[in-house]
Amino acid sequence: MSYKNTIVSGFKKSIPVIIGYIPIGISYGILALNTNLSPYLIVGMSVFVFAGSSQLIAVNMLTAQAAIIPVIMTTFLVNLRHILMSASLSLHFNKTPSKLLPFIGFVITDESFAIGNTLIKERDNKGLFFLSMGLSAYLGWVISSLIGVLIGRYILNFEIPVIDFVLPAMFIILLIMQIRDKMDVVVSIMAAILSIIFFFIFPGNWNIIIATLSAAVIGVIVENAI
Amino acid sequence: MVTYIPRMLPVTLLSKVKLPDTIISILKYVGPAILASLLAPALFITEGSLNITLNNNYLLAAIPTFFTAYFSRSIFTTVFLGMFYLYILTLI
Repeated sequence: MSYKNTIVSGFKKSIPVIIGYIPIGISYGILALNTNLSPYLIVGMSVFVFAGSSQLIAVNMLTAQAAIIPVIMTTFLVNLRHILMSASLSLHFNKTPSKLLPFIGFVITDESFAIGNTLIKERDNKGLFFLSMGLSAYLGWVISSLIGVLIGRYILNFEIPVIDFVLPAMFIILLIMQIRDKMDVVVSIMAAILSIIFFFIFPGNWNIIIATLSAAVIGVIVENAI
Repeated sequence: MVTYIPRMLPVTLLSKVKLPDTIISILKYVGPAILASLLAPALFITEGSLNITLNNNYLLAAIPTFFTAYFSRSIFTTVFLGMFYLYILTLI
């Protein structure tokens, strides 16, 4: 496949991600405006941070008058999961030019990971495909949060009570897209139960990363045993 | 930086190194496991405590949302109908 075709196909595959980003980006923009952050800062965060759930969490914490260090630490903890995603994706990029990799890293998100991980196997230019998909998703995210800021600015007290369900619903579809076999179901159920138990044991967001790793390791042990 | 480093470093460093098979098997389970870990507390925990009752609208709305996700395979449809199910539940 030519470079041009790869870029076009990456762009096409990003469309469902962008459509998924629109309601989240818009709700992010609206929620952030309610915390009296400046519109430039809100959109700037989308440009430089590009991490939907982290931005929503950060904005949530800023509302509660949190000090800046806990916000940074929480964001880092939430994003620790990208270490695992990034490491997992790295398996596909052994033929990709090294200078592209820092950019590929920037566009790894929950969504691009889910789509990339399922679609990347049969591609020739894996790095270029992932990069073009990620970059167009990035632009979609920045533009949606800009739209959110504009809506929030001009339609004040805009309240959608069900908007908080955007993130859980997105996790559900991304989870379904990741399931390939019965063991994935078993590991997911285990991770879910552990994440809830650890939520009450460990402070902060540690439950997510500890539950993920334990469930994945147990999954491999069980897999080797049968 | 805190969001960029976890994404950039592993993909840059690990792409040129062959990982042991055990690590690869673990990484393959990380995708579904991490999404389940993120999702479960959002559905089962309400204001800091476990809530497995019929009053938990998030949990109830998640059931049709799962079916929608399974059959539609579409992010947009799932998110949109998910919010719709939750809206219906808040009316009841």
